[in-house]
Amino acid sequence: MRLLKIGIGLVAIVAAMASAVGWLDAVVAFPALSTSSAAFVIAAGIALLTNGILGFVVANTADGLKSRFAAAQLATSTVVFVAVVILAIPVLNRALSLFTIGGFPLGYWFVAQGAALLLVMLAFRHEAKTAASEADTADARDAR
Amino acid sequence: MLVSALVAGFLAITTFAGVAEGLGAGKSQLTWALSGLAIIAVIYCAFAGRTASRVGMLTGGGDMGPVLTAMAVAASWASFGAFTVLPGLVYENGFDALLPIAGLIGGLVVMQALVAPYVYRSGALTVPEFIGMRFGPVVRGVAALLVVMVALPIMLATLAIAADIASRAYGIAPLPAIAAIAALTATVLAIGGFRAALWAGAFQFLIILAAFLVPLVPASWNHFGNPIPQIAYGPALLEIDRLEAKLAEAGLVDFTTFRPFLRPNMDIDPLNWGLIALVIAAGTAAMPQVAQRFLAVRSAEQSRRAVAWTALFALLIFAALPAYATVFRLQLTRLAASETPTTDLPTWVWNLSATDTLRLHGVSAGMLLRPPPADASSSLPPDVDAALETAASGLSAEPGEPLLMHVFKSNVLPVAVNAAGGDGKLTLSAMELETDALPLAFTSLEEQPAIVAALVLSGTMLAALASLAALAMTVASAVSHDIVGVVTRGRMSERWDVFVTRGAIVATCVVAAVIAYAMKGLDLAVLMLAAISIAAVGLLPMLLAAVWCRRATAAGVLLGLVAGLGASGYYALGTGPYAVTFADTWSSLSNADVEAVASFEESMSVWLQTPDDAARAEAYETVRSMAGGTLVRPGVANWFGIAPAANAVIGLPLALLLSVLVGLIPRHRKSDADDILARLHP
Repeated sequence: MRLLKIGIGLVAIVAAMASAVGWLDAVVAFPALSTSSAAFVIAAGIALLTNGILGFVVANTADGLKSRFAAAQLATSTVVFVAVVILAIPVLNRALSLFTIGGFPLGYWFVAQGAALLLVMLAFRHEAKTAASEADTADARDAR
Repeated sequence: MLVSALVAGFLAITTFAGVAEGLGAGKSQLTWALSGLAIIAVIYCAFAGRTASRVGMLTGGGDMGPVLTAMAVAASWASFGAFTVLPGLVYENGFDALLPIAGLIGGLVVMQALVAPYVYRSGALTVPEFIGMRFGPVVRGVAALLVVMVALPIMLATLAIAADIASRAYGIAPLPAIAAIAALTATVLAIGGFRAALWAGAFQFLIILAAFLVPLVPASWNHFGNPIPQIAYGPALLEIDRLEAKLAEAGLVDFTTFRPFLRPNMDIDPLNWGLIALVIAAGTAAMPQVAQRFLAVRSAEQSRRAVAWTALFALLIFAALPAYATVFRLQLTRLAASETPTTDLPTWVWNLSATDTLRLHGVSAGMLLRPPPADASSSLPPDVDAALETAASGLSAEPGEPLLMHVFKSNVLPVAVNAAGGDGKLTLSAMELETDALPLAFTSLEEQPAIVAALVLSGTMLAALASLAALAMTVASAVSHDIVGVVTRGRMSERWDVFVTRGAIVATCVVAAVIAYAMKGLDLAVLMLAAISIAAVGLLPMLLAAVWCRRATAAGVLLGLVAGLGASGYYALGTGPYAVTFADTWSSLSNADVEAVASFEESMSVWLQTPDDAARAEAYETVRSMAGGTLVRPGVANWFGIAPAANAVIGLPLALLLSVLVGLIPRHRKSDADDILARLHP
């Protein structure tokens, strides 16, 4: 799973960069990404890549440093996810606006409320996961 | 418990006041009574949280619950902008102006993940003290100066806008309004610093939330058949879109200023939309007046929980914010689409005109009572100006609304309509809405009872007080605890420290009041963006290096700060006042298209070849506007299409990179970073 995350992340970053500078369409028939779309895909790629790499680091670290890397993994995942959500707003707006939800054009709803709602859920999830991770670390320390 | 009792009491009194209104109490009496009660309750709350301890003054005491803390932070961080600048921006610019919502809430999440719990675990009382623990007294002093640079401009703009609103709403002169607000802020803080502000903040948040939502609920029910404003206004968006398309097809809009409400990226391209939102998130994550308040809770885990609750409370306000803009836009667009003659306008138009919130063809009934500044009235045609002056001179000091409206409708508006040369039917461009405080104007739009208007005004003033208290306390603690603390090398006794902090609170409020009065016309949005950029480039890299980088050193952090602020400042100035030189120097990095570059070069050559001084100055202005663009839209002068407002995108990575890279240089001196980091990451 970690390797898959790293692989997809790398491919996304390289493909988005190549597409943004116009190299990709010389190789395959793929529409060139706008700069904002490329930024969004690169952010998503970084999210996967860092999560995968830090997952490896946490799994292969001695117990003393494990908690620090686990905290870093959680924090970076959360921060990069924030960036992905923010960059997704202008990129996905046109496509989302083809649909409506409760009378709202979905693109407008996402920028006015949806993205913020997603971020609030992320904040609570981060809080819960960090608390669980710190409890595990404390248990492990007590067991030692 | 105390806060709940006070809120219940306040809302019960509001209900009684509503009954009193039914029995004939005047609007002015209700406004004064409700605002007075709110202020007494705030001072009482502050008194309940009084303290004379250093920890209590600077952090809130370390024994507050996460939800109570979150309410106080939401009251001070999110609410004043929601009552003032933000709904107006959304009304004018539609989709594009919604970007702060994701940025502000995203910033709280970043703060939760990277900063707040670690500052708590360090045991520091302020953000600069935490930075000083890792990097020594010099960096602590620099960080304290940065905190002042971030918090003071926002405080000035908040104070100026709050005083302007108070001056108009209570009918008092600007100077006493500024003095009263600054004095109230100083009183609350002098009683007990952040602890008093936290107790008062929880009460303030509940009243603010009530004041923000109460006008919207009946309006939502009336317009959309759904009392929950956050989810009700969707169908109105589609109606606005339909009406605007109809008006545009009929040529009834001014295309130079018209911004379709739902159309994205009219002023900000998608890349800059994302970048500016990211900069707001980065700046929010390092905002000292927010970060320091999460030290009030009992543990690092609770500080994380408090941040999450703050984001939720901010969402409650932000999700309803576009509803204000939408209802205003809907009503004005409907009016324009109905092609109603100016002789037959609905009551709400006259209500808004009486308070000078809505001008028709440049004039309003409110202008008869409070003439606009000379520079504003000079834009009117001479015959309209003369009609206004004649009508105003014929009125007594307090003419009463019926007489005022009669004089306006019969003596002023017809002259303005004639001068505009239309057919007497109102168009969208003929209606000019004052967007400084839309929630306050909303009660006039919806013809709601005076008690609701008084509640919204109380909410706005409480939001201003909460915001000012947090900002003033942050500036005062940076000065008294960090700058004075560094100078005296921390040898002050606790009693003296508290005394100096109280003195700094009073001094901060006095200085802010004097500057805010002297510098009229401060733009809260621009000052917020500047402060957010400084926080993102100056404070965030320092905090990240302190928490996450074991090898980071004082030299690296200072070098990163100088380089980051230098690069961002260079870009902001280069794409602003010095755009012509910048465009010439960095043309290879600009993303301007061929046509824009060609017309820029043509204008340059015209400017260079113009011999006459006046014509040359005019030609230069053309060149400068082509090179500089606007704050959110780059002109020819840019690097990779980055807008001036997103300048932190350049400085932040540079500052962070240098902070880390310089730390990698081998050194012999023993560092105590490991001990501190062990405390931060147990």
